[in-house]
Formats: sequence, C-alpha cells, structure tokens
Amino acid sequence: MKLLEFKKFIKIWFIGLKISFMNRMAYKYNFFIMAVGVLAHMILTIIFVKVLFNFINNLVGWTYEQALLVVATYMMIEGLMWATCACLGGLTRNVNMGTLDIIITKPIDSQFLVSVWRGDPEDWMRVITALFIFSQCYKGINIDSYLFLNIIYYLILLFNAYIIVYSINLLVKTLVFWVIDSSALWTITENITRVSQYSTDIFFHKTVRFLFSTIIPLAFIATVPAKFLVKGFNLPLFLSSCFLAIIFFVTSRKFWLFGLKHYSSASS
Amino acid sequence: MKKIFAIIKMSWQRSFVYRSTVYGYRLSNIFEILMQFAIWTAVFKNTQVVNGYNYNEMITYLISWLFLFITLNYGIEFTVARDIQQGTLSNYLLKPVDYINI
Repeated sequence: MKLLEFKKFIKIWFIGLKISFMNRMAYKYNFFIMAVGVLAHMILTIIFVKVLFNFINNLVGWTYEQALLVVATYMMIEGLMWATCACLGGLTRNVNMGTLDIIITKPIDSQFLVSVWRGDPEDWMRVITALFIFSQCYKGINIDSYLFLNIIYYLILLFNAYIIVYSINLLVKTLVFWVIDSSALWTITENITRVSQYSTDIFFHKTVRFLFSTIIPLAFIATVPAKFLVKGFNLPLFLSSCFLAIIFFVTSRKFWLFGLKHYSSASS
Repeated sequence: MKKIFAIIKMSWQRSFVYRSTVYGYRLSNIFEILMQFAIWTAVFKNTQVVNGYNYNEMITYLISWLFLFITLNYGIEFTVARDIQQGTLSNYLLKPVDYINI
C-alpha cells in the first residue's frame, strides 16, 4: 500500500515536471535565452573564484579546486531546487493569483502538490555545470581507499542539503499566507541560501558560525558535503546533517499546516 | 520637478501597501552584505593587496557598490517584460512622461 502511494507521488512529480517543460517550450526562444542566462551566471561565479585565487593560494584552508567543489555542490543543490520544485514558486504564485484553492481541494497532500506544481527545466543547466566542475576538480578530492564510500556519504549529505534548503524555502514562503505579496520572500530565501556557495569557514565570528551551523544551517548545504570529499568521513558532521534535515523538514511541515489553517481563500 | 516628486510619492505609497515586503528586502540585503564582507575579509587574511586595493579600499568599494545596488536595482527589466506581456505598455507610452523614469 505504502509502495503504491510512493509510486503515485513519483508519477505526479514527473507529470508536473513534464507540464513545466511543455509550458517553457511554448516559448522556445525564451527557454533558450533563460538557459544561456543561467549558464552565464554559473560561469561568472566560477570566474569570480578564479580571480580570487589569482591573489591567494588558499581561502581559509581551501585550495582553488576545493573551493570550486563547494561552489559546484551549491550549484547542484540550487539547480535541483529550481528544476524539481522551482523553489516553491507554486505556493507563492497560487496565493498571489488566488488559485491555491484548486490545489488544496485535490485528493492528495497539499504540500506535495504545491511543491511539484512548477519546475524550471532551464535550471538543469546548473546541475550540468556542477557536474562539469566536478570533472575538472578531481585534484581537490581526497583520493584514498575509502573514496567510493565517501562519494556515497557525499550523496547522502546532498540529499540532506536538498531537504534543508527545501525546508528553509517552505518556512519562509509559507509566510505568504500572511504577507500575500511574495516578492521579498523570494529575495530572502535566495540571499540566505546564496551565502552557502562559499565555504562557511569564511565567517570568523563565533556567533555567526554558530548561527550558520544550527539556526540557519547553511554550513550543511555545500561546505559539509564538500568537506567529505576533501577530508573524508566525519561522524559528528554526518549525524548532525541527518538530524538537521529531519528537524527542519518536520518543523517546516508543521509550519505549513499552521499557515494553511490561516489561509483565507480568495473565493470565500 | 513637481511631476517627478508626485510620481516618487505615489511609488513609495504603492511600495508601502505591503510593508513586510519592504522590510523583507532590507533583511535580504543584510545577507548579501554579510557574504561580501566575509569573503573579502577572508581573502585579505592571506594577502595585503588585491590588484592594488588594500582591505579598507576594497570595503569602501563594496559599500559604494552595495549602496548603488540597493538604490538602483529596482527590477526595471521585469517591469518592462510584464508591461509588454500584459499589453499595458501602450498606456504608459501615451503619457507625456518618460516611461523608464516613471
């Protein structure tokens, strides 16, 4: 029964992605321009890191290749967030347009449906760019006898990072039930998560480090996964990542349900 | 000049319809500033000069850039795109004022 339910969710998610792709392809040139725009953004980020390393040998202990691994990890997470659920664009847009009723009255979990309502296919370009960076930065990876295991751990941490970023997005964007205008909520989540595209070791102040490791766990988005590739397995960090992913997901779920109770429909 | 001030006043009033949006944008600016400061501080831990700029000069440059970014980045490209898509551009073009400035 549970397996059938899971299959149904996956099927709906794929249908959502397919519809998003078809919507984008209705304006082909727009799609290609957006894909080129995303690629240009990624290239500029890489150039910025390259420029920095023209003047320094390492950034708080990270070499050029290692710093790029952090950037690539962030790109991967950001790309997946946009491509699979458009950073919850379905939620903000439907509340703004007064069309959320259509979603919440469907016989399926409303949080799931609102999450997969939109995906931006041009953002797969971020994932492709990230994979390209990985292929170029293998020098920064700690190649030891546990490499295969470390890659497995890295993938688990990537999954946790996805959950954390998704939960941060849901926590912030659920506020749309109260504020209605969502434009600033987009900028807030984007600017918060963007901080993690460089190693969080750049924050020297203890309070800021504590903040970005626990309350807003940006360190666990890109820095910690990349650390596993560079320095190998670290049990406390691994457990913390799993714990934070669960805590954030449960909290955001509860907040979503709380927000939904306060939603005043556009039609009644 | 009076005309311009009237437009600015209207624009401010429109912005403050959703006050939380205004506060939200400023909150997000804090993260933008924090990241830029942190990265350049980390860079200058390893070197005294970056392409002729010392730390203080770089921070001055950053503050100037952020000020311009925050005050001038009002998303004109999105406004123009929306007006073209929704067909409301012609309304503005008929008015005796510069479209970009209003």
